[in-house]
Amino acid sequence: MPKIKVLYWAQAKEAVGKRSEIINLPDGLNVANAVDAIVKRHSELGRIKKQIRIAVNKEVVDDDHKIRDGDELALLPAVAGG
Amino acid sequence: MIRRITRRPIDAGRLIRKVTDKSAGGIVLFVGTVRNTSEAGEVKGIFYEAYKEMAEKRIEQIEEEAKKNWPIKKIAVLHRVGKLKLSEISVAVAVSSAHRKEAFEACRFIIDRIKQDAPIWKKELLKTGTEKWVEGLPISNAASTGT
Repeated sequence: MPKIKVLYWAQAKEAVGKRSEIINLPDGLNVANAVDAIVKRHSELGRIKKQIRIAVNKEVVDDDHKIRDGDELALLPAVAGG
Repeated sequence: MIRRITRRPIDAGRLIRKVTDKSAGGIVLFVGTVRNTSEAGEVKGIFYEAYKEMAEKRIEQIEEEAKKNWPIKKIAVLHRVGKLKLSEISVAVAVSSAHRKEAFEACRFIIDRIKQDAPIWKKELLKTGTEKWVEGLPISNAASTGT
């Protein structure tokens, strides 16, 4: 069972109330499945889910990217730096 | 890796010195500062948050792309995080090149891409006492931007 680190940033961090957590996921999940599992744990994320992109190990990835044990998955809300 | 995200006040003069080059005929410097108004109303400050390791990597990739597109001598970028007051510098981009045209174009490219692609968020601290995350566009996928 893959164990991953989830990072919450900006609005996601405030919605969830923490910066990061370690979670266990079933085998064979892709990013879209993992996000569904995370939103299920934290229903507050449902509201901003559409605006969130996912980075795995610091690279933005698509929904079908496979999750592996030890991955660092970050929830990135819409950006407005500068 | 060169530091591109900092908690400390940005010294724009230092960026100019960093990109100064004998073969350069000019330096373009963009400096972003905290403005007192926004769509949400009167602003008294901005809080910036960055996914530091990823933001530094993305900015480095953007710099590499600029170097591929324009004959640039040197680039220096620094983005601030933490709580900033009005008029404080939030971001600075300095580019040197042999001729001014490519320095202007590359500097514009770099700041535009940082705003779009780097995992950096800002929360406006309004005069009314409320705080509001600025929601821009979902971050771009590196693959779709050719890096």
